[in-house]
Amino acid sequence: MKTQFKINNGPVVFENYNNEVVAVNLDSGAYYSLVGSCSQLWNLILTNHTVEQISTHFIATLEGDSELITSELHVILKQLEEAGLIIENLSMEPSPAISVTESAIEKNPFNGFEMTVYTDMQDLLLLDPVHDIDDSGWPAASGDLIK
Amino acid sequence: MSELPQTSVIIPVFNGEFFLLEAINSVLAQLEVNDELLVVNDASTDGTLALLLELSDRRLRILSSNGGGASVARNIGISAARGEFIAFLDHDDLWPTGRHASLRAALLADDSINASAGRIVILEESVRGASKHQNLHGRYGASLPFTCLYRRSLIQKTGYFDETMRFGEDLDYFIRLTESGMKITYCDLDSLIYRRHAGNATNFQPEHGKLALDLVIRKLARDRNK
Repeated sequence: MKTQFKINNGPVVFENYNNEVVAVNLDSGAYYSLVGSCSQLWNLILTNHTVEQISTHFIATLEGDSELITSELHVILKQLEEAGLIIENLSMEPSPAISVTESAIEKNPFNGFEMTVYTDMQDLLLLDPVHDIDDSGWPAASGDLIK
Repeated sequence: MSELPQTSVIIPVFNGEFFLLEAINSVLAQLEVNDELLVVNDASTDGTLALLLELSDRRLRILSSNGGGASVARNIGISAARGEFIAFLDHDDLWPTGRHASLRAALLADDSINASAGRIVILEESVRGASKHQNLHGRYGASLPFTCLYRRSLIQKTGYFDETMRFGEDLDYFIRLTESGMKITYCDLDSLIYRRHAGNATNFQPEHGKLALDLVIRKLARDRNK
């Protein structure tokens, strides 16, 4: 059976830059750094690829034992799911094939899917106590005070 | 020459004529004779400056900034502060009675700590934004730097508020206080009345997620540059 995941967009916000994905789960207050293949995995999930497609892609582009790659892929998917970062996409949106021409690719060594979990800002991220500044001054003009 | 103040309190203000006097009075009622309250007027265009000039309390110092925002104004206050203890307050918030004496006593009693904090009280004056901040009510606002009193040495080590941030600069500062070795004690009292009203700029702030992400990325960048 084909499985597809999607980013858990409700509580999860993320930014993707320099081959790293930084994601925050606002429900748990934890945040995550995904680098290397894990960052690439995130982007493949983001672009609606099935687990089968993703697995095929990594086997084609990474140098290493294909069974190990597949096994590690399932482990990291489970970790991402348990962290609340991804959820199964039951509606199975159509996904384009990943354009990989194996002969044209110089394979990179497989170094695992690296995800680092941080909880040191948990209390702060859960509270949302942002204070007062805006572009027009701070606080905004108080003429509209409602008593 | 007058004795150096033990405590410096910094209030940045822009167009704060509706609330400022109440905030000032809540502070002055708790400061000692030689303490100082630095109000940094950030180019207000309403009656804020006139209000300030009418006040005659010798503990009050009126400073000016050029409209650069709250962080700029707070930083001017930090530069000018002479006290051994430093606190911040926004002009539309209040100090509950007895706050300062308790937080100061906590610092005086234990040299090993460099910050003392109390709980936050949410004072709702409008419907807008109400639910968003109620989760803070009655809690130790570990993430709200304005619930605390700090030793000067901690502020000096932490440095200034990030003037490039338009939102969340207080949270960013609190994270940096922690990174600078803040050792905090929590006192059994309310230490900040955080007034929610229709004029709060945070009613119009970017969504929490974007702010959270910005804070996290800034922290990761600092950690990696150490």
